[in-house]
Amino acid sequence: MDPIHILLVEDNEGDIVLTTEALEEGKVANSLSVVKDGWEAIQYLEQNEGYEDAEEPNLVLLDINLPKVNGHEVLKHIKTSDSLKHIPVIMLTTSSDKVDINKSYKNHSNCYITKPVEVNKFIEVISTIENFWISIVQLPSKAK
Amino acid sequence: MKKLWITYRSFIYSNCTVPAIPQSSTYYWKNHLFATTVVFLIPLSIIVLVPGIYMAYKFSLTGMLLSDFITLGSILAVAFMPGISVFARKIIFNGALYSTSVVMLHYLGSTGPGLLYLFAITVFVLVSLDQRYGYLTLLLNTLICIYFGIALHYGFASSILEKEYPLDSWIAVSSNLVFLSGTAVFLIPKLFNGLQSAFEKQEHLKNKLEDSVENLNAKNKELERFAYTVSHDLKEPLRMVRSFMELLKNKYGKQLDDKAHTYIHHAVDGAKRMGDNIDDLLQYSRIGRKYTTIEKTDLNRLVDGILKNLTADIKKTQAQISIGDLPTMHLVPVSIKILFQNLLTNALKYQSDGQRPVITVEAKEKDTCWQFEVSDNGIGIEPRYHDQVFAVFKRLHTRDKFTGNGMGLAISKKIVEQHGGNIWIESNQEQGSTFTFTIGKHHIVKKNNDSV
Repeated sequence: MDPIHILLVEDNEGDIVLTTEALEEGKVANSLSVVKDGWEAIQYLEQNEGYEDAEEPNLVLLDINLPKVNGHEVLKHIKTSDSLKHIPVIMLTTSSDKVDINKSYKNHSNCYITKPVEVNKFIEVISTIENFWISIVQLPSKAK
Repeated sequence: MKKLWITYRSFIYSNCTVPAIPQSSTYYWKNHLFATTVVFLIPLSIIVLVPGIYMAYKFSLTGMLLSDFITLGSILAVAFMPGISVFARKIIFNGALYSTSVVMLHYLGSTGPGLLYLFAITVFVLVSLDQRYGYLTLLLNTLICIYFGIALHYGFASSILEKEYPLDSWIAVSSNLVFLSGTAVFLIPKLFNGLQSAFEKQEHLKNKLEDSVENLNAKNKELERFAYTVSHDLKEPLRMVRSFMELLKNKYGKQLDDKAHTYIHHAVDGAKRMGDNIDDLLQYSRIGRKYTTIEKTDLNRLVDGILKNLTADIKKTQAQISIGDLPTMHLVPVSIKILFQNLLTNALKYQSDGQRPVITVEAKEKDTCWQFEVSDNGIGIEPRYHDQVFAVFKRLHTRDKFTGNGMGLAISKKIVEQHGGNIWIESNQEQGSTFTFTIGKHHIVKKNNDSV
């Protein structure tokens, strides 16, 4: 099986460390790229300047509260772009606000997860995501 | 019969009023007065017409007989004929009354209802149309009086009228009609103008009030959003503190000594408590703002539900809890549930070691409210602290003795006040406590806009 490529869009250094460690503990071979704001995320996905060699991810983990361009707008960008909309996007955020949840699904997010407060639960959730989206789900082939 | 009357009335209303005119316009009320007049005039006119027709027939007054039928026909047309404008209906209606009164004056003299009708027309016109038409009736009334004066003078008036009045008496009688009509023409529009300006003032106040309410709602929403964002932003760094402390313990726990573990424990515990404090502050801010839906609630069921939630604690302490007969009443169930939960949790918690909790919940009906009592046999509270216990973040015990952040009773007090009631405590140290609170029977739940 080809290694799975995950794009993490997250500005909180702490969460980047937690997520990276949780994914490393997982059994599935994967590679992780991290961008720290919404604008960077779009540049990365569109392979714009500075990201010409960026590889299309199999999965995007997207926070909502991001600098420059927020997660909702990044999601909208992905899901309205013909070359990107097949990529599954998982909203992973501290927000449990109904407004955020509904807005995400209306913009075709593939699922919405509120970050658990306790670290053990957080790690558990990350490994569940990994297990479900990488081992159970059949992902689409990459466009390019 | 009632159904028939309603159908009849609504049919005439649909013919004789103009739709989509606001109630704040006097035009609306003028149309409604007109329609109401027509509604009642038809059955009443039969009472008048039957003896009229009989009299006309008996004295073979053919002209009057004819006029009675024309008037009846016109009024029926005004009421039932489709496709005529409301204005035309009003003109036809008053025109028909005019012809009747002239005919009556001619045939029956001034002892008949003729003069009375002329005055009544003036009032009808003023009520259903506007002042300009009032002047017209004043003019018409004067002309009619002059016409009969001339008829009397030149001797072509009816015999009845001639018998009643010499010319000078007629002038005296008819000038009174003109005087009364004139008074009506000046007074009645004043009444309507007064009404109109009262309506306008009311409308203005209503708009102003609606604006304020809208403003207030917007502010409340903004505040709610603010509270949410603040709590989110406060909890986010807290989550980091907690997460990495726990991660440190998990990954490097074996390399750390007992002292380091104690440090970590206090850091995690502090972060946890601050999180709870933020949550409770948020809950405190939501009472009366977010929790405002009033429902008819069976308090027996509500308290039963809470006891189920507390099963573990009840079993552990072997508590003996008796719940009296509680009422079903209108209140905000989300809030009241928090209230009972707080009081019962406290009653279970604040007990001396090894004591078996005995807790009772009772309700008494008063004139305007229900009074509830939650009593326990716990450690009690010294009277000098009775006021303080309801303050925000007020605690009386160290955390190693009893957990909690001192928000429970502050939240409870706010809930009771939201329901227009009071809460107080009767207690002495080591003698148990009784928390008593009232909930108004007919309260309106206060929606406040306290800050976070």
